[in-house]
Amino acid sequence: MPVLLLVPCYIEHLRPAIGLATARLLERLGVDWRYPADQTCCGQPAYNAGHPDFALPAARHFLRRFGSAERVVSPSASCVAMLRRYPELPGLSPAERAEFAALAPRCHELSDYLVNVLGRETVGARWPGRVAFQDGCHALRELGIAEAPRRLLAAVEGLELVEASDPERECCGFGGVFAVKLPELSAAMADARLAALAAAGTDTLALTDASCLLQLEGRARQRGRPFRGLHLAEILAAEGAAQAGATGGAAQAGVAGDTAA
Amino acid sequence: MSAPATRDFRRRSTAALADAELHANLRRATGQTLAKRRALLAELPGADADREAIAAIRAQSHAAREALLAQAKVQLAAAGFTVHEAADAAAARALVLALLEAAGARRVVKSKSMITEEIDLNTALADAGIEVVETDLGEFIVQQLGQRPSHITAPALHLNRRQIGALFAERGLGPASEDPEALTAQARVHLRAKFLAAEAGITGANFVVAETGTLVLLENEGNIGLSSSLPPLHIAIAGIEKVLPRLADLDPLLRLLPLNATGQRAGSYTSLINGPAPAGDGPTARHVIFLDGGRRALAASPEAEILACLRCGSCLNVCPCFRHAGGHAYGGVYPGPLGILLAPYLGGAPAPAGGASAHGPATSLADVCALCDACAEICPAEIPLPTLIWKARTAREAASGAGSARPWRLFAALTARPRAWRFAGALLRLALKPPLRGLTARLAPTWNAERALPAAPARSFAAELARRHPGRLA
Ligand code: SF4
Ligand code: SF4
Repeated sequence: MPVLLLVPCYIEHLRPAIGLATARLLERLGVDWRYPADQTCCGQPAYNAGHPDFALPAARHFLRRFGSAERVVSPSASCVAMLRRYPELPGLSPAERAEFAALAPRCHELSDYLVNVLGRETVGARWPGRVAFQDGCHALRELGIAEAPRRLLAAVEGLELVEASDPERECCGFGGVFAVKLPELSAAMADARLAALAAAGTDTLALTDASCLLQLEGRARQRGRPFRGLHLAEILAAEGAAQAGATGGAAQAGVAGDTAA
Repeated sequence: MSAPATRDFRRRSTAALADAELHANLRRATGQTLAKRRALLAELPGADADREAIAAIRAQSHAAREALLAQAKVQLAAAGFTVHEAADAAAARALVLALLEAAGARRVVKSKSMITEEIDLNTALADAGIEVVETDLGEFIVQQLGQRPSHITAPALHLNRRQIGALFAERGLGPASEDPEALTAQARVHLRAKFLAAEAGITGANFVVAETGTLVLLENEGNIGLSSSLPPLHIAIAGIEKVLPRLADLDPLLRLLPLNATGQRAGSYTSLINGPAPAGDGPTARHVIFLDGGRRALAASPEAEILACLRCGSCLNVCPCFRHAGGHAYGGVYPGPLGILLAPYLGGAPAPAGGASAHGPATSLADVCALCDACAEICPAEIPLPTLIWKARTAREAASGAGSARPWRLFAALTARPRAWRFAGALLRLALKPPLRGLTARLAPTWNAERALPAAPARSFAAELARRHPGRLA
């Protein structure tokens, strides 16, 4: 039974390269996967804003499209955290609640799927350069994912993994409506992350959530700071042959090529 | 639209962010405490078990609060305390004033206590012509400045040594210094005279043990011990949620409270007080005032779990909002994650009959949270703070009428209609491309003021996938 791929709306419309990298990676690993083209959103924006009732239609749509899947995989920890919360949504019938509860443990963030379901830590990727990793709050604290992305990155040929998370592993400042309601504070939180990145001696940051990536990238660009934000999938999809002899910059161009194509 | 409290927070936090020295002080002070805690945690394998034990004790205390309170009152009275209960802040202030007046006390020493901040006791005492001196160093400093504590366990963490040295010199407490030991010594000399002259000491209480009628006070500087033992009259004020069933319950609490509050293995001083001392040695009269002050209303609310809070302050240290904005930005007595939850109930105007406080959901600070979960991870009482904040946010939204729901109604409709959803996405990409990009930036000022808008790709992921891996579309 094929794995169903859930691609969050901001990857769908703002950074399709991340989705394509995920697709390439799954292809290379020989995973039988499908992308339900009529998927929409996990509903998290409404949920976080304090309108769980308006996350319900998204949840029900998800159940219709993904309910029969043996596994759901997503390059977004934050969306997976939302899927796992579906059983607690108000207004569900007992039958729906049971279906959501049964589906939740079959939904996986990409690195969790690769390491803990497929048992793969080495995926044949090559990425020359120094890369820092930033924990996303939902990945780290709701899903307990800290090890899997680091192991995958550490196994990438040529990649030197450094820590840019300060020991407190602070939030990037996105937080959904938070970023809109308190933009100055949100930006200060992003600045602290960018400063930690600079302190780690690199401008390349790997993340498991495109939302954190877009927040940091938007802030870095506004401030004219050097920043190269890459989703984990983009690094894992970079192939040895294509990257042979390439510099970090050329590798980045290879990934960006997906966006421009 | 944001609630008024959030707008005020935004204004105050933006000012705090612009103050580079304040910002650096907050980051450094909270970071140091967290680092000490982390280092010690590595040597404390039992911390997880302690957390579970504390959560269980607090749940039990919550479930049996009224019975435990009644038991505590009986046991305290048997131990020689005079026990009072105050329904609200005004009643608590009146009780304190009456007790001081009856004893003829005009000079009072006070140890650090958030509950006395909550009832704004110092103002009431000053208005009555009674001298009240804060004896905790941090609290002493903020009192000199006429400020509220910025943090519940580190009141002056928003200030650095240079600022404190300058303040002391200005107040004539000694020569300008930046040496913490010298500054502490200056304060000590000043405070020693106050301790000796005081006719009454006022403290809070970390816990009250129902089984034995014991007041439990934890501290690092010794001032609580002095405030509660030197003057002839001791008044302790405790929230009705502070009652613990048994003395044995202190075991995990005395380990995790210092660990989380200050990153210490144990508090420097732990006082267990069982009534007045025999004549000639210490206070001859001890009073305990139990304060409701909105707690019973909070206990009946969806956010009731916050009553388990031990006031350790570690959720403040780890909260990115607090770490950048500082406690004063929250505008109330209690800042940080727990302040967001307590503010509608505690430390405000007295709750009107029926429960909901005058602070109510309308002034909710529930948007001051990125839902990052760091506070829930660190809380020694396992309080699900972000979940409770989200609940408060949900209640606030529900109360604020149809207007706030409108965009989400549209969102919900789109998420159930894939074609409409895709169309909305296409519009978004269009809006991010010239010639509309400039206009979009102007229409999204709160995003765009601080962050550049993302670039728009030529095609959506689904469209690219249809070209590259058509067989994978389902
Ligand atoms: S969840 Fe909210 S309140 Fe808790 S630490 Fe994160 S931002 Fe602060
Ligand atoms: S909510 Fe938890 S972490 Fe915060 S002060 Fe209370 S006990 Fe400490």
